[in-house]
Amino acid sequence: MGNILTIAWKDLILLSRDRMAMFFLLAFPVLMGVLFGLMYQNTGQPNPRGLAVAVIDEDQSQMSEAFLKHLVANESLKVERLELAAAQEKIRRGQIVGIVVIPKGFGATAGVFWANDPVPLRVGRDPSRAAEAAMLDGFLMEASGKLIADRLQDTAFTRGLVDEQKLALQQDQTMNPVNKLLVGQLLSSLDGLFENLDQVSKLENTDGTSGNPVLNDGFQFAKIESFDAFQKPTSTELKIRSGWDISFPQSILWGVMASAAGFAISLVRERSRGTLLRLQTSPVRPWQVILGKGLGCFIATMLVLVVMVCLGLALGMRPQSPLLLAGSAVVVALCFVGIMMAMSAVGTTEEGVGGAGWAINMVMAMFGGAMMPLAFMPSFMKSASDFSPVKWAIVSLEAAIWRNYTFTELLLPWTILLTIGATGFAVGLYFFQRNLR
Amino acid sequence: MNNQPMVRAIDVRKSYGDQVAVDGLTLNVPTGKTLGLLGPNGAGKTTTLHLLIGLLRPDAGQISISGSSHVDSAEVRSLVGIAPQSLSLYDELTAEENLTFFGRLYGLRGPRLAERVDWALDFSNLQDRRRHRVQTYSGGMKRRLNFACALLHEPKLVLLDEPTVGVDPQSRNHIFEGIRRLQEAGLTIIYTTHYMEEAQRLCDMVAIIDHGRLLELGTVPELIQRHGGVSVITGDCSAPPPDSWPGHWDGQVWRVETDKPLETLHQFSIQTSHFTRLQIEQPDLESVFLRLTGRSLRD
Repeated sequence: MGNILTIAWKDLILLSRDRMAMFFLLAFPVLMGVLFGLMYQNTGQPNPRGLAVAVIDEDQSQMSEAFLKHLVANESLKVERLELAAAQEKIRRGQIVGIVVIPKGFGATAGVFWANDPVPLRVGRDPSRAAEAAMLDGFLMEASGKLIADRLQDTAFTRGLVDEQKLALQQDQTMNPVNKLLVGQLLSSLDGLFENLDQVSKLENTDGTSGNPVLNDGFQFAKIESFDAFQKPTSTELKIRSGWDISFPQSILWGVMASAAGFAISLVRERSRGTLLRLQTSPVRPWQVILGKGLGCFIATMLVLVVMVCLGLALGMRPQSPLLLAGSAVVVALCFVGIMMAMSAVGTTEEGVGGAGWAINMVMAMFGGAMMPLAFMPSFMKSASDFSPVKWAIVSLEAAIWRNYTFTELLLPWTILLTIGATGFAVGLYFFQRNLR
Repeated sequence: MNNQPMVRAIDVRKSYGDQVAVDGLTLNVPTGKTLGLLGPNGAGKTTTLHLLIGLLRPDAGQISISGSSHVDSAEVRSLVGIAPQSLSLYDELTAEENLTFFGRLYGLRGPRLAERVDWALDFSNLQDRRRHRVQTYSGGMKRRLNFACALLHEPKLVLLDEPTVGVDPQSRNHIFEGIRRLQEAGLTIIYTTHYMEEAQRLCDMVAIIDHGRLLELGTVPELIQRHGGVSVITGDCSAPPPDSWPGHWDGQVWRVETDKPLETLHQFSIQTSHFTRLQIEQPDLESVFLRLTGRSLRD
């Protein structure tokens, strides 16, 4: 054990004196963590003014103004009034998701659900942002629904429309008499409805509020209520409490991979600078050399993990299970130490191992979800991600930070990671001993 | 004196594919003696060293160190110290840290380790630079430290692989002085070099190796006697020498071969004033190597 500790300690001192290696070990993952965190920082809470959209109001009516007011009130939209040319320039530059044109005549039929020939909104969308454009369509529908409520509030205007419809019905000689009777009764019943709404308004408005309280909640095509998908009936406070909860597993992984890549070079560097020969001729056994290197890498990786977790905590990450997070950190570190051993022993030159180390890391990161979330990957990449230790490492860390896994549920990713690590160690030891001869 | 040889190799062979690196090496290195492995670059000296200490496994033959054929065992390795030809040091560490690290690998701890590190720093004359990183050292200083690292754990057998390559005369002399101290302390040394002057100056025995084969083994006088040939006296003179003188004159240079050059000069009453230049060339290891291989050591 003494020899293993001696080699590990020496490697850590060497690491501490290599500024470039220290940068990639500590500063680089911190930068990655902050960048990922900024990307995800609004996850789990409303996104203030996220979807930029330009509006051109050609109608300039009371209803078009009301429609605009509903759009502006939507916290997920960032509404900007522009001329069409300016809006087109902005969408070309990718600065807005879409252009909403409120055409002339829109106000005459807006919110009138029985209107015969309503004037449509015109919407131009950025074709590269289909998902966001679809969200915009939804928000436009929502605002349109609110216009119906606005119309119902204005009983005088609506009565006028109903009266117009009644007159047109009487003059219509083509309609089936039975249908004519039924529509007439419907229109008459609307009169009664407006009468009742007026009565309620007069009674309720004694508290000083304006408008009809029944309709003040707004019209909704479907009432939607949010719930926490991660909350279990017996749990308390189980949810993503910060965007950092999501971002940090990825950034921690970058640190772990940087550590593994840095240490992978150390063994082949021993060979190139000749110190391996001295290690070989000393009473130290090959497996002690490999374990010493592995221990150094493990300690450095754990240091990275601790620094990253502390940074995450300072920024707002709140792990649900610190104990399981500690377990995941140890397992992840062991896995990547094993991978490091395999990489370091298979290669024979610093350039080869260094290049291969980062190339392997990049591929593992790409397929494992450290570069882009798994959800955005095509299906073949999602399937391939099962073979990337990065995926299982992220799952293990997420499980403890916000996925709320139990210990039993974590056994699968942990077992996979430990198996990869043990295989890497075996491969590394085999090639190290073979190359010695 | 222990009669058991410190190193024994019997018909050792090592090949890399078709390339024969060591071909039937048989030698004994007596305890307390210094053996020089003399040969040109690529002769197989370093491969021979690596075979002797178990870094390479021979294809055939037997090797033992201090009577043990388990040359890669921890016990045997504790008896051996090596100063490799390529500097085996951590440039980012100080001399003290390098020595401490290697000392620990040999089981040294606490006051004993500190004592040995101090000794090694004295030995390499690096006490005043002990806390400076090796990357700031000159080539000679690194060479001396490389040498000292091999001695830290007090080995009985020291392998020095071209220890003076690329060093300044001052460091070379320092290394020679260190070797002399080790010889006085009774250590067994195997010293590889392609400088015959070093082998002649430092080694009790010399093994001449070329193309992986041991061509000859013996003391320097023995080798010269066996293969060095005779001394040659040459003198530049414009007048023909007397007929009583041995040798021949080509009109400009008089030349004679003899086993005993001074006696020959005296015996024939040869007057040095007869010559504008008189030179006696005695056989050395270079001429031994030339006669054995047909080429120069520097080739």
